[in-house]
Amino acid sequence: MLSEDDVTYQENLYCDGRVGKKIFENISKLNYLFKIGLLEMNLYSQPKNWLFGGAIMLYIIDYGMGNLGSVGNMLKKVGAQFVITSNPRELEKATKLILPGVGAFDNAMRNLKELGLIDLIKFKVLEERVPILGICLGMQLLTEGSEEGTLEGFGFIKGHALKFHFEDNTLKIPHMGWNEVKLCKNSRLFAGMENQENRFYFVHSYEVECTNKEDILTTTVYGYEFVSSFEKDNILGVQFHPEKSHKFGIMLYKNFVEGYQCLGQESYPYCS
Amino acid sequence: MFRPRIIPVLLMKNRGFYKGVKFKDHKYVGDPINTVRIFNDKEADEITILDIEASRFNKPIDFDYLKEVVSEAFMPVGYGGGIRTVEDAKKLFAIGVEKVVLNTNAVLNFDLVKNIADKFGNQSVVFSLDVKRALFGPRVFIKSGTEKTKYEPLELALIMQELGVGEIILNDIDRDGTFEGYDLELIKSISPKLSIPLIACGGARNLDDFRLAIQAGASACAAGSMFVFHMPHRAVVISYPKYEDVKRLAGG
Repeated sequence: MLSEDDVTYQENLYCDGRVGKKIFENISKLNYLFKIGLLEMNLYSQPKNWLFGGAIMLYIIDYGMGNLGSVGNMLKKVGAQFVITSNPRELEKATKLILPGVGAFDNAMRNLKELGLIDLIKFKVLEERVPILGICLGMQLLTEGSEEGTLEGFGFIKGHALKFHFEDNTLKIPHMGWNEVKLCKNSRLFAGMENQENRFYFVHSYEVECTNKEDILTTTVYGYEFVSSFEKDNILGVQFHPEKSHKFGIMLYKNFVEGYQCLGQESYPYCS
Repeated sequence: MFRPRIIPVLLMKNRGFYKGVKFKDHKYVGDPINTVRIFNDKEADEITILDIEASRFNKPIDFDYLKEVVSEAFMPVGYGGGIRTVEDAKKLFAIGVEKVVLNTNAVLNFDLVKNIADKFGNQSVVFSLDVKRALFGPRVFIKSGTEKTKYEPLELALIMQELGVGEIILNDIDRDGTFEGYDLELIKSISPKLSIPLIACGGARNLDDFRLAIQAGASACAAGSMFVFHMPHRAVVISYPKYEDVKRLAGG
């Protein structure tokens, strides 16, 4: 059984040199997991998916703010194995994440905090680089914050969610209904959908403004052109609800399930 | 391009879909799971399922069966009938329903509307404004159109908007199943005064009716008979307009 002291000791021991760096990265990970109380067993007696490869573990994060039933129905439709959980110990095993969300920004961040998931999700996404798909409010949570609330978002994507602001007062808020998306760059998420008109179901009052334009994956027009999805490395967000968007949604989920792996895996020395 | 939604409204009782005229004389239309699958294949924008006996006869919500029906729907689903508590709404969202449609229990208990909207967001609550013309003008009805309330349509619509309802279905009882077209004057008298979307329902017979309702201020159009009956003999045929035709509606 490794204790936190052992880990700190090893950190000091390996903190320089090329080989040392990789070990250091893994030790930091261990150290982190000890700190948040997730790792009790000796690492070497309990293989981790992110360390040793293995089946993709797709987790839907349940923090009391999403239409999980619909997402689950869709994943069953595309034949994916998945787990719905709010338990950090379970989520720790994830090699792929879906962050759904319907409701208010601050409520969502508060719930995530109360469940002890914020640091864990940051660690999974930034350190392990597991693919994460934020849906609707879940997409907005991946940015730095929202005009709707005062709490900070995850900050994976530079930008903020702002309330729709248009002159045309015949347009109702929320933007509710079906709308088309325009693809701005190539993506595995839209594999096989490049040459067709793609439409999805939207329900939202806030829209994400990306600081870095290269993060923008699709745009949609409602009063003006806004960002309807973004993708940066392993971080993806869609403003619409693919789980409620017929064949378009089915294709998108299939692409997310089949087309994305943990980007971080190859960098770990124990992978093979 | 953004376009108005076209929504089939399906009436359920005893695990079957039915459709009547003026909220009466219901005729069997089909098996719900099968019917939902057909609307799914036809890529309907959204569907609304209303249990017409749950509130009226104080029956519990048939969650197990609904779960089966909803798992076939890869489009937004609204459900109404017998929703009495926030817990009921929570269970419905958990099985994959997007929106709860309230009528009787919302009128009897304003707090229910407020509590569901606060907890799950305004977009998840729809109020069904069931309107029938009475001696002194149109009034709102509850319990599947069997009990009159003191409210005028606009008055109650504004109260519901204030309580946090995200959309209102204007369900015209006098035109239900009649194929006479929507009551455009009624739509015009309510829609401009609301900031939330108004869905027209009751009387639709063709795409022109949808166009007229949208011009009158409706944000979406719902219909029942038009999607399940083939006139003039009311033969049961499930249909839904082609995407190209629906798309054209947006142009006005």
